[in-house]
Amino acid sequence: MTVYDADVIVVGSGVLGSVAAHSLATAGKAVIILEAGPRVPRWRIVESYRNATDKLNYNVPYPDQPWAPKSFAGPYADDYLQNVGPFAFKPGMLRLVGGTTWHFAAAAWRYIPNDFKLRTLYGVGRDWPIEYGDLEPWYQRAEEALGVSGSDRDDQSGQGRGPFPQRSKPYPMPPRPWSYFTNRLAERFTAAGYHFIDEPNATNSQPYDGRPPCCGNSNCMPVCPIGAMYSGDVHAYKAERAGAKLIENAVAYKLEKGSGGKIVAVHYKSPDARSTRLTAKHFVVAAHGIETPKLLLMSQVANSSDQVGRNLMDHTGIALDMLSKEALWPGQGPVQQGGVFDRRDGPDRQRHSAIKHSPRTGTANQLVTEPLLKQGVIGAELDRRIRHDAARFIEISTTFEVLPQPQNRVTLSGKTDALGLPKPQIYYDVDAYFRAAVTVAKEDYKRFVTLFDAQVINDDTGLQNRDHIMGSTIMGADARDSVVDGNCRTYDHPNLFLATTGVIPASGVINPTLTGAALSLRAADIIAREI
Amino acid sequence: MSDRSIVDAEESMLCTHHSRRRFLALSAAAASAAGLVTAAPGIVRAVAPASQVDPAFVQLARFLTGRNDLDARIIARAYEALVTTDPSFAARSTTLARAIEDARLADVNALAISPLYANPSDRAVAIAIVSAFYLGQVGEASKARFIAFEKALMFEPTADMVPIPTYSRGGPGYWGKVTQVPND
Repeated sequence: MTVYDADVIVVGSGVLGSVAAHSLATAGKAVIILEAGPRVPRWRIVESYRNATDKLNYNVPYPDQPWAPKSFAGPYADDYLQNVGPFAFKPGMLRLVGGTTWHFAAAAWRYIPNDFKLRTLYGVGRDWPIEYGDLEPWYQRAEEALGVSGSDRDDQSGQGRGPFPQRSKPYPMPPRPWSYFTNRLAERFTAAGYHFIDEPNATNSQPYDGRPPCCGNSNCMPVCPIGAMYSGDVHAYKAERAGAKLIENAVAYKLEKGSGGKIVAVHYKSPDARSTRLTAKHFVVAAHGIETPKLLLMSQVANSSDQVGRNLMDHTGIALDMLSKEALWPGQGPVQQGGVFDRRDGPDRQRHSAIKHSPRTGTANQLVTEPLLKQGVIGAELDRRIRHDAARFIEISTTFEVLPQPQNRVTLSGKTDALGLPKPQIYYDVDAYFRAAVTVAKEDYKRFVTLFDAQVINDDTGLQNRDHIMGSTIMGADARDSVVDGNCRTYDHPNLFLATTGVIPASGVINPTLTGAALSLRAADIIAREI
Repeated sequence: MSDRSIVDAEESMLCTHHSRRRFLALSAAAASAAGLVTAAPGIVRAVAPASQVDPAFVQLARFLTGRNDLDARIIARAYEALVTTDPSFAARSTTLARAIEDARLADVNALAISPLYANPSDRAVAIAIVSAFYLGQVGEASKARFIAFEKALMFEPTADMVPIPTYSRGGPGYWGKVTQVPND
């Protein structure tokens, strides 16, 4: 009888790998988690942030190791992602136990049923091979695992028609209270005919799972100082407590193929370049939407479709910064609370991307003080203007649906990192479908400026990264054009599953982490039954 | 590391009006306050020894920020960062301090509307010093040098309304109870 090192090896300790690992360990399976980066306690990240310059760069307070570079803001990071296309695709990506959700803002939307049928309904992009109903129970499980606070009353399709999408149970926690800022914005948007709805969010509105409720520390990004906001380290450590073995500073670089199309082992390198081989019955690669295709390409696995690394998507976006006439006082409470969802769905998706507008409400002092100092404002006038402007700063962060295009892709660069492994090379550009939506969004911006009687600070930001990596290991019904099936199982290897938002074939406009977690829990359940 | 003050500058006089004599007297007091920095070894690394913090700079920083209670450690750190970042800083700040004296400016608000503030070099030095204390850093983005965070002056004008990021000022859900806000 074959002896394995583990029942399941999970590559990556971010939220998607960790919820799968925790689920499997809880089911009594022997689990090993490999994490490329180190363990770092929360307090150390908070101190790192407080003592850092460049505080608006959310990657800054996180570790950057020669064997595990993050995506930017560090000596190894800054030359890590090799962009060769017209757009610098540089999403926030962290390499430490817990992964990149250390610095997300925890939006926890579900896709709506139409998001799963983009091709059928609107003639563009791709359909999912599964439907909303297939995922609904797993959405609920994911919301309970992460701890999501949300409204059971909103029409999340943005049409104001009553609770939608259908839920089997209420949200685990009631919505977080809205701030004065959010209430005033909602009133203004609603009066103008827009549908502003509450953002379901993996931040506690009450004590949950041993973590405290949000205390409004105004720092969801780059780190919640008190752990009221969920981040992947929660389940990495829960998995460990449930019996999983978590090996940090272990950089997986090869999946070894055996007979019958099965994966038999994963090889990882330690910081000193020493190599270790581990065997298991099943493997889950949960290494982020860029590192996952990189590992598959390095290993020459799962790619009979030639789609590994292709169809790369983000919710590439733009933003509007303005000063409202009335004082709204952003900075009280969480940094995101809701959004304008009117353009999330509808026939317009035949012609242009769906659109989401989300106001951000962080403490704005640095954002307003820097330009005042550049203008030379000093003395009592500086203090007066900081107070005036900080009370009125509105940032509208806009995201667009992006379609999967095979030429947008992650490949292996000829350049190598400290371990001699290839760096990711990226080509990314947006298309006419996307650009048509930018025009529509900018018309909305004009209305928003009028709505708040505002002074524009910046309404032409250029295209921005949104850190929502999708498509790079695409899911589909046909093995010839897809990497995984509807269960996140690779078509080429029956015991290799991918737990990454990279499997998402139709991006919609909502933050994909919750969907990734639902898919991972669903895949873990399948794996548990097969072992 | 917290920015909690270890030095309480001894004088409490307001900075609303300065005679030339008071400007000079404050410089002497500042020198002794800065001297206390070295009495707390190990708390702040890489801070210039007090003997290297020009007393005239301490006074100039107080004048430009309109605050007499600047933390001596932060003054020392700002000075060290400014002179390191710009080799001509010491000479230019001395020039600015003298010019302020000569112009008999009452306070920073008088400077803001004076012909002196139109002089590009004096203006740039003044803004560099003000920026160091307000933003809590010298220089921009990743090349900047860290000075302070919790005590960065940019947070003072809104201290009654919003938290300094990472710090809490209300408790769970406090923001949901705010129904009126000042509109100044």
